Amino acid sequence: MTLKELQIGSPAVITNVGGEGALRQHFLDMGVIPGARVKIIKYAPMGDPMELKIHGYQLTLRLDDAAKIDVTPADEYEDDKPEPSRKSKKSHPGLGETGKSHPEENSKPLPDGTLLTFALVGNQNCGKTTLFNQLTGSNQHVGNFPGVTVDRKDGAIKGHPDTLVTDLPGIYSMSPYSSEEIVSRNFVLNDKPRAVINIVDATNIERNLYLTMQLLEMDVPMVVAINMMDELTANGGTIDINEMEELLGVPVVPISAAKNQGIHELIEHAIHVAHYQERPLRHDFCEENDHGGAVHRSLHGIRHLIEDHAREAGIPLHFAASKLVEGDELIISQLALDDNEKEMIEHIVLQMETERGLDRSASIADMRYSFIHKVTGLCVKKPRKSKESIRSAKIDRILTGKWTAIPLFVLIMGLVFYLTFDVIGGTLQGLLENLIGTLSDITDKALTSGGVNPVLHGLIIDGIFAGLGSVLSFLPIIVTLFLFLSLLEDSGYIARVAFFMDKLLRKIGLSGRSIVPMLIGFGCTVPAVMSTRTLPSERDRKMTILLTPFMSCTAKLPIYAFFVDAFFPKNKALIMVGLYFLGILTGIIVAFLFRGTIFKGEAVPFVMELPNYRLPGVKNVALLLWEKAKDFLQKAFTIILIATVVIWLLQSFDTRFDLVSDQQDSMLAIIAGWITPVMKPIGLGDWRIVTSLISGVMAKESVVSTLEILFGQEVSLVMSKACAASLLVFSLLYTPCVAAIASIRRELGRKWAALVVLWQCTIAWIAALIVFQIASLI
Amino acid sequence: MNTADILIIIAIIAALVLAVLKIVKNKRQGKSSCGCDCSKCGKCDKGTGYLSH
Repeated sequence: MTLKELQIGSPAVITNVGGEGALRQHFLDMGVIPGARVKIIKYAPMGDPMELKIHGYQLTLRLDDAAKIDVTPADEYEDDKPEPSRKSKKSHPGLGETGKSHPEENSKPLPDGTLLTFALVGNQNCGKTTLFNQLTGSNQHVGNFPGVTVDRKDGAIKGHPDTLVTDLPGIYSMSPYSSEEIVSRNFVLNDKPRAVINIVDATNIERNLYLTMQLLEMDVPMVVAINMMDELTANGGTIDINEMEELLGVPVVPISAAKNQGIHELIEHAIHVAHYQERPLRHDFCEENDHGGAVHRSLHGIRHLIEDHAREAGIPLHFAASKLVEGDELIISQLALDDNEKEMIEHIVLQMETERGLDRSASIADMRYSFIHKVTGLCVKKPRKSKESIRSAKIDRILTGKWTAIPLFVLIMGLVFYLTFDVIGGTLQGLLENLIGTLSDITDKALTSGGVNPVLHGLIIDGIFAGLGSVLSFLPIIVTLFLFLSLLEDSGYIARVAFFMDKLLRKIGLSGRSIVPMLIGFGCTVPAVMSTRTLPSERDRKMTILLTPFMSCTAKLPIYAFFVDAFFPKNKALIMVGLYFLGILTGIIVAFLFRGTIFKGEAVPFVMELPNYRLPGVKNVALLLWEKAKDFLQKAFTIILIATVVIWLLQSFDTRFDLVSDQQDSMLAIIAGWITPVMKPIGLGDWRIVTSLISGVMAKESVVSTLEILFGQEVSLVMSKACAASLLVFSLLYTPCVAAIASIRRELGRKWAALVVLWQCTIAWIAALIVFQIASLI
Repeated sequence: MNTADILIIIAIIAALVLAVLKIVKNKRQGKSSCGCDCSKCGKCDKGTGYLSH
């Protein structure tokens, strides 16, 4: 039978893993290997994908992929067995410690003062960024979703200025499945950090150690940090650190990054191994007696054959040999083997497959997991069932329940927007507006009594105060929306949304994982575009990036609020929510269009880990909000201040720099006049509106500040409701801001970025035309 | 033009110069100024070939 046919709750053993290529390798790397025990936990509300338990963690898999995995029923799931208690018998090996002896051949001290570079490597969602923050004292955002770190970040260890830690994206293996895995692998191989800090999640140790095996093969000085030890011990689990250190041949340090426990010891060990360049004492995990030693003999034979090539290519020998057996194309090409050598290796591998009874990739994965089981069998007492997973299962019964998941998602998102735009953000915005208004009145009176020149007076009150003030008043709304998005992400809910939205998103050609960049897109397009790096398929990445700008970002909020207040005060909430839905709807239509034309094919398989629900950390959320507020204020007092002054100058003077009495004669009116005819059919033929939209390309909030300067308080008198509706739709859909365009250019290149600008403007123009024509008839 | 005018002009010019300098500094540090999550993103590949993948 296949995994697809297995009943919920019935344990089974995997007998064969079908499929091919990178996806199959990814299955194997995630622990879906012959011999592994699995249990189906549930199906997503729409019947697909499924959530299963394997190696003690939750994994999601589509039914189509599950159909490729053969299983046989088993008596019980391994986690359900009682764990024997373990007592440490080993004395502390003392690896990576000052004062302890270490083999001389394994130690080549660096000259004092050498910059010690460290790579922070670990699985997704194992606490790397939390550890990075503890090590460096920085305030990177931490999330409870696999793939929060989408770019590398650097920082010196606190109190050690001659160090540099690089926080790499979370990866499951050194196989080139996603671009992040290639990045992390290349960083360790090419940038050659002095040492690696491998962070391992104690509550999910088997799958985490899979990456450790490959890092050990890379023969880089290394320290293993066992994170979340507090959670493990609180649930009755233990790890024999001494035994594990002995078995792995590298220093092992138990830590709790969130509680700042064990960090000092970790730093000492990391600096020691980096300074003395202490390499792992173990890089070989094949057993001579395992299935007749087929894998052992094959790996050792290949190592001898490729020794010279590996040395020349600068690839660690043990790592190169296992990757050759797995058929890793990137490593094969880097090794530059002769045809004869390739042929010999192929024969060795074929013989191994015959003797072992497994194909090449499965044999290597099985070898690694066999070693991991040996290590965990000797040193780890797993908690029977953690409080966190029991709590998560209870919450999931409701939040991912068959009949409750989607209604609750709609309700939660509705509540988020209601609280943001009305109850919390809206109220605070009113207060801030009053404050800015009072400040403007006081300044106005002071300038009048000081006999300040009327031109300067106009610049300060009608230019800076009106423009900048109107933008600043939206700070509470933006911070509030980010607060909720952060809470949803940190709690682990967004990962569930990806799980139950997968089937729906597949209908438009995307995977459930694409929901994450899109939800982040409601905050800001820039991080949303960056977060697409977690998607392992180029097709999905491109398509998601092109669709993300349709998700209305917070920077557009001031535009909506400004026009809704002025033109549609009675239907405020309805129009605001309607605009968001219009953006989503346009995105869906465009996705269908893409799917049938430039992005034909199927979405990337949905293989994702579901983290336990966690209470978002107050400090983490507060830091994120502070960063958002600071960035917003910084932008207001830099780009928007400059834009405000420039626009005021351009609209106050003509081409001979004479003060104009009629703004129609100003430089701004002349410049905007060139584009005005194009905007006339959509009801936006006023040069002032065109100017404000152009300024919006720089920063969306500038649209409002520019309108405030150009129109003053008379917007509602000059524009019709149809024009306002058209402008709202055009603002929703037209080109993203320069920062977003730059990030799209970074991810997809110049051509795609230019295409996005033209494409978005065209769609916005067509949508605005439809809205304007309909609204004009009403 | 009175003293208040001169002081205001100086203040505005100073604010604009500081704003430009801040933008240039951010750009040099690889930071964006979109007001979103990118002030921490690093925004550079630092020669690791990140972007080429």
